Amino acid sequence: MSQEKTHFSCPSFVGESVPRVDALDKVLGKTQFTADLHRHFPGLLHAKVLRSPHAHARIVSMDISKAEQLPGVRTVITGKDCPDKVSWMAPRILALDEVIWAGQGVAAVAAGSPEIAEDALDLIQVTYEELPAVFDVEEARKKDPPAVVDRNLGRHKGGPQFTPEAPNITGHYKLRAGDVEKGFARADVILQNRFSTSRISHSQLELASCIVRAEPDGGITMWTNGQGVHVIKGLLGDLFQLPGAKVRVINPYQGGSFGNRLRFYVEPLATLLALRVKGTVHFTYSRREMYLAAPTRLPVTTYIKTGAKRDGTIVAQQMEVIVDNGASYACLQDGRAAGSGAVCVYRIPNFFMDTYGVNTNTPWAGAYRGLGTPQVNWAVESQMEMLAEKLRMSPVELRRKNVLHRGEKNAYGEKVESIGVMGCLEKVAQEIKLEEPCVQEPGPWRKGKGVAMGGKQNTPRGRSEAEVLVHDDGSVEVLISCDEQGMGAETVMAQITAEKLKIPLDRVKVTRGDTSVTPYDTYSASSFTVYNTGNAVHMACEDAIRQLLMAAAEKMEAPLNDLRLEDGKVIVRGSPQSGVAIAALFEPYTLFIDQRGSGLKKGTPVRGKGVFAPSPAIPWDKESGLTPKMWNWYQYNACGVEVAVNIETGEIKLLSAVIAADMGFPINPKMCEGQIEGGLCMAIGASVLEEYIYENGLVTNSSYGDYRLPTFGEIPLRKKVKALFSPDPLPEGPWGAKGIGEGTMLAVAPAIANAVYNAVGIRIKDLPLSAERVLRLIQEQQEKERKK
Amino acid sequence: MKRRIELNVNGKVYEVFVEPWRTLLDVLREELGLTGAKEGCDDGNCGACTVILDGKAIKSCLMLAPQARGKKILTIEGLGSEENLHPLQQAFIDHFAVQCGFCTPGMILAAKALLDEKPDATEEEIRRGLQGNICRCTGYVKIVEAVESVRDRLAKTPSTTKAL
Repeated sequence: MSQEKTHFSCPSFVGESVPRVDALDKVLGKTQFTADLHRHFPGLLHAKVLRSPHAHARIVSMDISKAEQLPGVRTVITGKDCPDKVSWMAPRILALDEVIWAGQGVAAVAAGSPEIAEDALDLIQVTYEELPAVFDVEEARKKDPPAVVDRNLGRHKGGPQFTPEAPNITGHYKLRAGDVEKGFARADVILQNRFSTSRISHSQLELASCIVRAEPDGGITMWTNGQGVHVIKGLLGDLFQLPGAKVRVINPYQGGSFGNRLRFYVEPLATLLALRVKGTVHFTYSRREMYLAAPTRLPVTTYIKTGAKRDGTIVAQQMEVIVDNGASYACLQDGRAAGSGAVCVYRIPNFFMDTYGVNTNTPWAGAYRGLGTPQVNWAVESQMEMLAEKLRMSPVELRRKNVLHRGEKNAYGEKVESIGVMGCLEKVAQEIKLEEPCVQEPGPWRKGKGVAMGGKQNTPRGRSEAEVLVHDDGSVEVLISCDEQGMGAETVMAQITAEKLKIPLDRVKVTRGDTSVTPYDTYSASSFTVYNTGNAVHMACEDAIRQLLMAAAEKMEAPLNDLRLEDGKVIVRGSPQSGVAIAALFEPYTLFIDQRGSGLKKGTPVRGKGVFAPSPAIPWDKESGLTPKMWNWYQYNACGVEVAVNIETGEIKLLSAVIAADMGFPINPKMCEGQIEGGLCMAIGASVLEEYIYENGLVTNSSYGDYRLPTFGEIPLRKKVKALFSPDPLPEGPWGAKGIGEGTMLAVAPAIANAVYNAVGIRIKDLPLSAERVLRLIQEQQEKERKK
Repeated sequence: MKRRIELNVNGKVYEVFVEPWRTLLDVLREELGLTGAKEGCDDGNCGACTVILDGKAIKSCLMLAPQARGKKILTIEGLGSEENLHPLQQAFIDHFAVQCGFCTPGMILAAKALLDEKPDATEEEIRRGLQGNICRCTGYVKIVEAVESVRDRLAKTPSTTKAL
């Protein structure tokens, strides 16, 4: 399909920073998010959930009778009322007889107001018997762990990655490329380290929310900010045995997700309640619940051993990547995706890697902007910097020496198709003048610069369908089911359509996310919306053009090949004046025109259809982990920063930051900048501020007040933030586009840590680089120097 | 027990019957259907519920509805219209300071109150003034850009200050 694209060498919408199609409604406050809708439902019931205070306990008894009798309460349910099913998309609705993390739901109420529902929760009496819990991922993964987190883990068996080597291990992936022993034998230097990252929260601004109405025909209609309307429809149909024809899921605009709403933790509960009372139920998490009982980012522990020649050539690498899934198997069962970040950037001829997914009695984890790759890249890029120092090489030179090139094979055995990572790093290093020392000032602040880079896989998952309706007045409607959580998908799809059909952007309307109206799409994840849905829209446009031109050929009695579409008209080659407006191709309805014949009819739009699915992964060899296609394409990033570290307080201040991204092609450059700046800010939080704090497994900083998110105060001054592009086009992406959203998190944490090292000489191996931790390490270092 | 209270919102006086413990945010959203103010955290730390009360940006989730009696409340719905956007609304569009849009109404109102009070605010002052408003999408850079662009326009045409 890429062939026909070449004649759009001078695009007028694609590649331009056209204003967002959804911005006007958003600045006017008119955009309706899920929780804004509930005033439209008279008699609406509100759901609230009682949650376990214990990280691991047996439910000895539960008495719900008083809650049931409270006036205004419609129903109270417990784990016994829930379908006994789990999937990777959704955990069990409520715990049955054992709770496995502090925050897991044990009972739920539907009542006439949120206040009554909350009062009812207070009347539920639960007796727990506490059980041993395990919070440390390395303890948890032992063959004989202090606690077995999920006794039912074996029941989830069947996924290709499931390998029960120990009671809490959810999966194990092995990569065995080359001969690592021989590789290390040839190495002049060997470096071995352990790195870790904290548990953090997506903290998207909009709370998880849904409204579900039980319909008189036994079906349901749902409004939700969960991602992927058709996927949610499938999940609910399966969970409650509802016929597909009677389940309708609608997705209003979403107030951010970052991977959080790829898991469905409000929809099943609300549906169960609505079906039970045959009413309409609204369920919105509180902010505290977002911390306790919504997916979190995966903490990852990485052991890494690297062997290199004196000239910097890496000859061998051994890694162990341990992914903490929390109390749910519903994420990265085998840690393979997290580990992929170590494979897609550098040429490592002898690579030995084990990745594990492990359960602990902590809040469950899920996808979070990068699917574990930023956490592993934290280790890889810190290690590269330490290696460069050991070899007395420039960090840029070391990376240049080892970076993969297009056409080469990576350690999986995949052929590298598109890799713009080195261009990103060169741009960043130049922009921050890496070679020039920082200008130090008197006082406690010490300045330093640092760089890092990284890559993120794209999962070849999903299928996107699109329909492009050309109406009889020439206006165009695009029907799609991807998500719009803020990244600008609707704008990009409108740009692609306007570009292909050669019509003004304001003649295009995007209708999105309604299973009864818009065609199948999986969801917007893995940064693939431009690539998956964008390709489908591109194909649907071509189908619509073909139908229009065929109708025009018949009407104008001209050969099809001589016709083309321009500015709302069909033009015959050689006589541009002879154009026929699209509207004129549609026959009007009159008494004397046969409505049964061929040709276009007023009132019936031309319906172009497109279906795009990436070619699937090829199963890897179980022992070696090798395959010619593990993933799809890779997006790349580099980051350079200048920091100031306060040696009296441990505080880190970001003075400037540059990120360069390889997204294949920037369809809307300003929106790409927005992704870069947003990713940078989110990564600053993950790098220096954010971590869950627990007491006996219960999260104690579960509010926006206690959990430190980056504010205006943590970003550098606006002229000190630069977003750059270094795209390497992907042949099968629309106009060469890949994706950008997740990659922007990759290189920030290691770049900051590398800069901190250059500022004060301490190497931090655990995230976050909180002031406390930095100060402690500075003091330890001062202590050591004093002893010397 | 419900009580009758009068609220002056966007230049219109509304009479509502509500329990006195209901927050202003709740009453704006549920009783008046003004859903531009959002609930993001319920403890005054996200800023999505920001409205302007007698010229000052406040978190409407931290104020009980009866406390707003006799005051002039401005919500995003009263700021501008499709035909006549407020300069900040236009600047947020032009500078791509909008992504998911959930923080946008609160952010624009906080910026308006800030520029009304200090039309020549420096970047540092803008950043400090908006620090109570969280955005998880944009990384704030383009929001600062948008607010600065309006500030710069104000500097050129001082007479429009009052119209803001």
